[in-house]
Amino acid sequence: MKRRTFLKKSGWATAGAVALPHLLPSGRLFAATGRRTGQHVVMVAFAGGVRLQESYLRRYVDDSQGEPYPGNIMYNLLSGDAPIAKIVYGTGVGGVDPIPALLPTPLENLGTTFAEVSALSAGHFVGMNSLVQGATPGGQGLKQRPLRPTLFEYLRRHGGYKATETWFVGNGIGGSLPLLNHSAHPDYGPTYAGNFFAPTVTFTGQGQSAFSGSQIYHPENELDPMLRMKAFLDQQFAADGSGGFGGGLNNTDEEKEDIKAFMKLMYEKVDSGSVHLPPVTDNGDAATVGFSCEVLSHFKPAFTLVNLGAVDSCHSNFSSYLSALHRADHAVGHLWSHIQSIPEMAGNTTLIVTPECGRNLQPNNILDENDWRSYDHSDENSMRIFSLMAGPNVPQGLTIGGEDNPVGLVTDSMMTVCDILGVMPEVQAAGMVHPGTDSLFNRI
Amino acid sequence: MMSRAYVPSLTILAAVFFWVGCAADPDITYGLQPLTIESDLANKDRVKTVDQWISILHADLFGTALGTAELYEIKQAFQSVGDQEIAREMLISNFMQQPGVFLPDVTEMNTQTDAFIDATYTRFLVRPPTEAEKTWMRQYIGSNPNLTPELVYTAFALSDEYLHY
Repeated sequence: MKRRTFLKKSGWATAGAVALPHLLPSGRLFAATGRRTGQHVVMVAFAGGVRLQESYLRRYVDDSQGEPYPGNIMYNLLSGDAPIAKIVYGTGVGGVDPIPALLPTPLENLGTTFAEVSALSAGHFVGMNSLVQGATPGGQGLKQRPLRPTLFEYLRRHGGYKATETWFVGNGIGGSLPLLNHSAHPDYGPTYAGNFFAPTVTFTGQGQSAFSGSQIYHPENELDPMLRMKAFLDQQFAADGSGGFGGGLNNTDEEKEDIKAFMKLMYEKVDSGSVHLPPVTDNGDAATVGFSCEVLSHFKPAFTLVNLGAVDSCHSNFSSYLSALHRADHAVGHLWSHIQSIPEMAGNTTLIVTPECGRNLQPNNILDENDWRSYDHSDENSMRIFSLMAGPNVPQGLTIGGEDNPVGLVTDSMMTVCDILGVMPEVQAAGMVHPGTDSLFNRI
Repeated sequence: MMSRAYVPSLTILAAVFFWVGCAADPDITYGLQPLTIESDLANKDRVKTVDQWISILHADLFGTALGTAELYEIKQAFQSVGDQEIAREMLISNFMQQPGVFLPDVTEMNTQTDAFIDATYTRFLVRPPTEAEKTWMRQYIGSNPNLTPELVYTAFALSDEYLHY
C-alpha cells in the first residue's frame, strides 16, 4: 500500500472510531460500562411514613397502644400470623374483615429482606428525594426541581433508556411530587426525565374533564400536516429553548402518540370500569397501583417508580394508618401478581419495596375512634425503615440485619436499580449520591 | 484667442462657482422621527405561565373567559402529566371537541384563504403574518386537502410563539 493511501485510510478509520460512539442507536455517546443484570425493575416507594414496629417487626398494636396483640397485617410482603384480636384494618364496618392474601408465598420468602435500614431523614420530602436522587436534597426548596440528578436521568443518560422506558407513577400531585421526575442539574435535566402520571388526578380526577374528550388524530392525514405547520411556525420564531412553561421530556413523536393513546385507553377503561385495580380499591394507593399495572402492561418499562402515601393518616388516626398499611400491602401483592401476568415482564422483573421514612417511637396526643394514639415522624425511630427485594438473582428467603442492627441506607434502593439496569459505575463516578450508598446486592 | 482682460474675471467666476458648489446642504427636516425597523416576532421574549396559556387559549377558542375554578382544575390536570407538551396537545384537542368553540368552516378556509390566514395570525399570535409567512401558508393550505381549521388552530396553539408574549 502506498504511503499516501495508507495515511488516507487510517485517517478515515480514526475519524470513524471517534465519531462512531455518537452514532449509537440510543443516541448516547458511549455504551454504559455497567453490566445489566435484569430487564425490568419496579420500585415501590412504600411511603407516607411507616413505623418499623407495625411493618417489619409485626407488632400491630402491641407496642404502640399498650394492647397485647402483635401480628402481621402485611401478609403479601411478610410472613407471620395475623393479629388474633382488635382487628380494625380490614373491610366492612369497623374494618373487621381482613383482606385475604393475594400471593400464595409472601415476597419475604421469595426474596431478600433488609430488616432495618437507615433513612436519611424523618420527613417525606427528604425521604422521597433520597429514594429518587440517592441523596438528601441539600439546598433544594420545597417547590423546586431536585438539584442533583434523579434516578430517571441517570438511567436515561447513562443507560440510553427511552423516555417511555422510565416511569414515575405518583399517588398525587402534592408534596412537589410532580417535580421529582427530573432535576435542574445542567448536565442532566428534562432531556433525560422520566415520564410521570398521578393517575388519581390524570385519569379519575381533574384530568378526566381536561383531557378525556381529546381526539387522536390520524398519523398521516391529520397529525403530520398539523405538525409540519407547527414546525414552520416554530421556524419563524426564535424560541429561547425553554420549551415554554414546561417543555417536553424528550419523548419522541412516536412515544408521544403512544402516551396519548394510553391516556385515551385509560379514560375508556375508567368509563367501562375495566382498569386492572386490586380486588379491594377503597383508597388512593390501591387506585394508584391499579393504574401502575396498566402502565406496566402498556409500556413494559425498564424502570417504574410507584409512590404510595395513604399511611400518612397516622398523624391523626392510628386505625386509619393500620388500614392503609394493610391496603398498601394488598396493592403491592396485586402489583407483583400482575407483573407475573405480563409475558415480557414475568420472571425478569425485580421488585424493590422501601418506605421513605419511619415514624416516631412516642405518640402524639391525638386519639382516634378506637382511642388509639397517633404518631408523627420526627425522632430517631423515624429513621428506621426496612427494604425488601424480590426477583431474578435475588437470594430467596434471606434476611439481612435485624432490629437495632441496621444494614444499608434508604438510598441503596436507588443504587440497586442502577446496578440491575447497568449504570452503577457511571452513577458512582458522577459522585452525587449520599456517601456510603451502595447496591443492596453488595450488602448481601 | 482670448483677451488678457477676461482672465481675472473668469478666475473669480470659477472660484465663486467652486465655493457655491462645495457648500454643505442645508439641514432640512420633515417632522419625521427615526424608526428602527424590526420583525414583529422580536418582542415576544417572555414565557406565558401555565395560567396565562390556558386562559388565553380558552379565550381564543371560545371567545369567553375561563372561570377560576375551571382554570384551577385544568392546572391540576397539567401537574399530573410529566410531559407538558402532551398535556397541551390533549387540552387543545379536548377544547376543540366542546360545543361553543369558534371554528371557521373548512370551505371558508379554502375559498377565503388570505382572510383566514390573516385572522388566524391575529387571533393566536396577535400580529399580521409577514408576506413570506402568508405565501407559505397559502401554498400549504392549498396543497393539503386534509387540513382543517381545527388542525390549523391546533398548530398555532401548539407553536412556540404562542407560548410567549
